[in-house]
Amino acid sequence: MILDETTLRKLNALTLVAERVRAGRIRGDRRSSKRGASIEFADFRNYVPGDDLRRLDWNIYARLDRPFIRLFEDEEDLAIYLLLDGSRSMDWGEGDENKFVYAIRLAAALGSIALGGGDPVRFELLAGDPAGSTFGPARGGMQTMRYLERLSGLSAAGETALDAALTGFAMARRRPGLVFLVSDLLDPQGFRDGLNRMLGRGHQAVVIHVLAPDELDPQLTGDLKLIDREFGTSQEVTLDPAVLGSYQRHLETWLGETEAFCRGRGAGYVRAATGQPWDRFILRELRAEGVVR
Amino acid sequence: MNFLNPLGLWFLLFALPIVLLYLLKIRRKDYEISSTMLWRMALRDKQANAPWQKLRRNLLLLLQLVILSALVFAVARLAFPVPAIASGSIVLLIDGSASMRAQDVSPDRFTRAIEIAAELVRSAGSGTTTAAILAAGPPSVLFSGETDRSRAVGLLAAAEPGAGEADWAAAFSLAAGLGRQEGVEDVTFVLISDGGLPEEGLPSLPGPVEYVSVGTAGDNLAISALAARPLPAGGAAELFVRVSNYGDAERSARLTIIRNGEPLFSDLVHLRAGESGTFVFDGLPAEASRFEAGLENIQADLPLDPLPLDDSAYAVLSPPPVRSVLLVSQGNLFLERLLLLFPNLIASRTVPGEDGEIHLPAASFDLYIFDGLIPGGELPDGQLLLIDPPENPLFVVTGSTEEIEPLASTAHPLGQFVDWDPVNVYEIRTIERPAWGEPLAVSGEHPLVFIGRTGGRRVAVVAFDLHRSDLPLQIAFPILFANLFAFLAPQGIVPDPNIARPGVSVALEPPPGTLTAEITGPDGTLHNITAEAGELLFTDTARPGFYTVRLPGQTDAETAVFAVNLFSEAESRIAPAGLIRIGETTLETTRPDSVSNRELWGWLVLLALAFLMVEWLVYHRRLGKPEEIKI
Repeated sequence: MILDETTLRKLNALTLVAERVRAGRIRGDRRSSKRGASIEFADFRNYVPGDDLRRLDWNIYARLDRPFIRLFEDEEDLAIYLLLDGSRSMDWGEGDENKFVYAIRLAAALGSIALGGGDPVRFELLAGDPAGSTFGPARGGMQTMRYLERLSGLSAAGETALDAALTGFAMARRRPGLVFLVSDLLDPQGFRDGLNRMLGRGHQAVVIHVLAPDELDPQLTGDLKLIDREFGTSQEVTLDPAVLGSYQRHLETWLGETEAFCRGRGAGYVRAATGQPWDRFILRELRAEGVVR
Repeated sequence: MNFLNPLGLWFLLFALPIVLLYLLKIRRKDYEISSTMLWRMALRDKQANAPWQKLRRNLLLLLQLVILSALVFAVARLAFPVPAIASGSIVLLIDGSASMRAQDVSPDRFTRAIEIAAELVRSAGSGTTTAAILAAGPPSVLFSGETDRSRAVGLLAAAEPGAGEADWAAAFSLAAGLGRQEGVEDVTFVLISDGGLPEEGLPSLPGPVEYVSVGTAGDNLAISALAARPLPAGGAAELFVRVSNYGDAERSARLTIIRNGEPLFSDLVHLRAGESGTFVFDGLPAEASRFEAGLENIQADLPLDPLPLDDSAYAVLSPPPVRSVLLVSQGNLFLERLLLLFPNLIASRTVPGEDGEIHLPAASFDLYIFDGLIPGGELPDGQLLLIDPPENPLFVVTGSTEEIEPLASTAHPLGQFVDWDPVNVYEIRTIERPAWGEPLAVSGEHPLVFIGRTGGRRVAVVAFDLHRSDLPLQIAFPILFANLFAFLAPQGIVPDPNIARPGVSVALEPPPGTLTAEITGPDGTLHNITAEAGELLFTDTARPGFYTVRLPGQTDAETAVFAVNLFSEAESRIAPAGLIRIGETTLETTRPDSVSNRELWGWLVLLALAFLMVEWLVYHRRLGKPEEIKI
């Protein structure tokens, strides 16, 4: 199991926050910023597992023998999209420092928070195994265990074109929501166009940039032929202090530019070094970013 | 800095294959990482010189290139110009005489001369040859036609100075011969000396001569003479000492004389510049004695002068041994009277019997004089003087002649001072002079007087009857026979125990039949010598002092002693000469004005070896730490 009971209890006390997305169509747990009647009926929709049974319209069920959920105007839900980079570059690092493991745990935690809050959750593994790469949409805390089981069966494999994947997501998911992109962003083609399109669709995005400690501070020496885990390409390099210094400078520049790009477009950006405990990251870094409350 | 073989620089092209091979041989360890994207970014600005980037900071390649460069420069004969005395082939004449032992330059003049010679050899031009002659006593060739500088320097370092005078005439003759061997066109003779060369009698050298002066000081006190002799009156002896100040300043010193290990005299002597002081000690016992004289500084802990070699002298007093002489003659009043004049000769006479047979006494004699007679059978053991000899086993007598051509001396030393002009001889024996015979006087082609060694004995022959000449009436008579007796009945094993000089061989005069001798030097070194061509020659007289000669079967009391002393004004006058004359040429001390190339290939090869070792160490250290490549 990705998350234990204690962690889940801690996570249930948290709520995901989206400042800009207000497109809820059905009742949710979060208070609406809109004004109007608080119990005014709005619509029905099909029951999905995990919905609050108290909102089941028993009359219609008795009449049609099909479960429907009543929706009200004054309460809204928040669509939560969890996009996880499943490229092989994510499968890097030993044990708990493995970026994919770390990313899975973050996705699990965020998904659990969202499900616990009654928000519809859609999880997509960008690249990787297409058969089991999505989950949801699902709603309600009852779905948490199923969600976690789905996550535990995932692995990082193959290549990811982040731009294309994000563009595809933006085109397919028209309902604006809070999108968490958990990725190392190590895609030579970049991710900016995809992110732009996604934001253009009204999504609020939070980029969780996952990097392993040895990517932030590589301890390599000698004459090496570096082989790209994801694309299989190689780069010969004679590592000396000058080259390592150049790497550090370019890394800092890249990180800075990435964060500036995200923030410049209203997207959140949180850097997750897998060296730090993932739960602390949730409780501190995401809270500091204002994504979790 | 230049290259004597610039074509060798082409070998630098070997650097290209080394670099290429190195580029090809870089074995990079495969290492999988999450993404190369950031590394490509980091290396983007280095891609323009990517191949060279691989070589940067690569110590092994750098070391290999340094090794190649050092070896190529060695092959190209890297050299830098140095001032030199001579630019072509060099023949070095190194003074190894006693004065070169002076310590006015550190550590002494000879060592300094060797250093100068080594420097000249090292700076000799490429393609030239070097030769060196050491003038220490008889000259010796240290090396000739040598192109191997290291070997030449090694041979120079092994040279040792002598303790006596140098035979400069022989050294110059040898140098001239070597110079012709080296090639007259391009050979320079370099004389490294403190001067003291004879002004005359030196052969000319076939090439320019440079003179390098060694030494700075001229201050020197010396015992210039020490001699002991028995007085003619008998029963007493006297000792003569002369101390000389060869310096330019007044000097005082303590003179000490020791006789047989006991102090005889000790006092201060004061000598003005250039002055000599003499001391005579008479009334000494006429028994065998050893005298040792020494000069010391008044301040005993300071050296007296730069040349200690002449501050000591040695003398031997040895009363002449008594020799027994048997005169076999029909009667020769002249000879009998003459023999009485030699106090150390105890003469006896015998005459032939009535049957004409000669009956020699049973006792043996040191010297037998046969006057017109020869005994039948074997000749007795002992030295022989044959006067008017008939046929005998030693040489062929063909007859006699009355046709006497003018009598004349030869150049033999024993015939000197014998004036034959007034001498008239009526008849002489015609003798075929044997190979061992050295003529002292001749009459035309006929030997008149000759001497020699044969069968382990000394033989002198006078080829005419004294009664049939007027020689006994001439002054030449006692002089000639005194010389012959000195030859036939020597004073002892060492004819004169006080004339030996360092480096000069000493001829021993053992009794007939003695073929070996054991000689103990002043430092206790034992020398065993064997007779060659009937002579016992001792040559190892390098060190001044007493030498003890022991013949086979002799006791300590019977040993003979002789002394070796420097006693050379030329060597004791140590002030270095700024000018020397060789024939008609006057030479000044040379200053380097030519330019020679000093090659560095030896150092370059050493450098290459050193870097090779470093490269080996670096290579193995890298192999020993593969874990460094890990994260």
